[in-house]
Amino acid sequence: MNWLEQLVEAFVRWVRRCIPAYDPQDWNDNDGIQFNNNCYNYACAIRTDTFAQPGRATGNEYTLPIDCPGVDAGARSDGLRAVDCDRGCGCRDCCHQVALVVAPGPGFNDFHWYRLGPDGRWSHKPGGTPATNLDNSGHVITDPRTADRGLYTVFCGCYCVCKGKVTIN
Amino acid sequence: MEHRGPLLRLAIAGVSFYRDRVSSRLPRRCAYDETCSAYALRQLTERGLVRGGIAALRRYRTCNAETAERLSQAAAG
Repeated sequence: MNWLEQLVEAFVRWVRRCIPAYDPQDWNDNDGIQFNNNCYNYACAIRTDTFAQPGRATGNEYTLPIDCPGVDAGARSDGLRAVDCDRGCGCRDCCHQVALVVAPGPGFNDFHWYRLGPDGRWSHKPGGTPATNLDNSGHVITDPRTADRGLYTVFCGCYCVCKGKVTIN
Repeated sequence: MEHRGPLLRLAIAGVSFYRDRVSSRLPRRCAYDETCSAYALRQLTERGLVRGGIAALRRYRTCNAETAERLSQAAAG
């Protein structure tokens, strides 16, 4: 490898530092970390050990029943920025993309988050269960809009999570 | 044929190298529909090193999550 390739490799690594890699071993301890951090923690790549809820850290927690506008408002209040899923989060900012989906009910009403990794694939952590890069059919997630999301049938949209600009709890 | 000085050719080569060898290895990051590097190449080619370079730098300065959100809202109507 010549010096130019090393320079390119270093730059690629430097840019990718902003995008959390798929790191299930950091979350799936079958103990306190796994049980006290949920999809919102995992998507934002911020461990709080409080089962974080959109908007709670900033006094704008969603209300029941759970729907896209309510969770959206809480997430934006926490500092997430809504973007087209096919658009980047900006060349200058240190951000990664996440996606919000909702299970509308009846019977089961909940929200869920996915996050995009540096390899272009998505992963998620359903509640206190282990983080995974597979959808409900066991397939690798290349696009949460088309993945098998189970009861989370409503796709709300994508957001940018920028380092140092998001507060969750 | 349009004359291109060595500095302009160097700038164009640098941006082209970035597009071919670096940007292609990264997930999409740009907030704009026309990426910053494509915009820079076009500006350098059409307006020259100084004016094109300044336009490219101005574009890069505004390529952030705030812009991505604003453009997304505009596209959604």
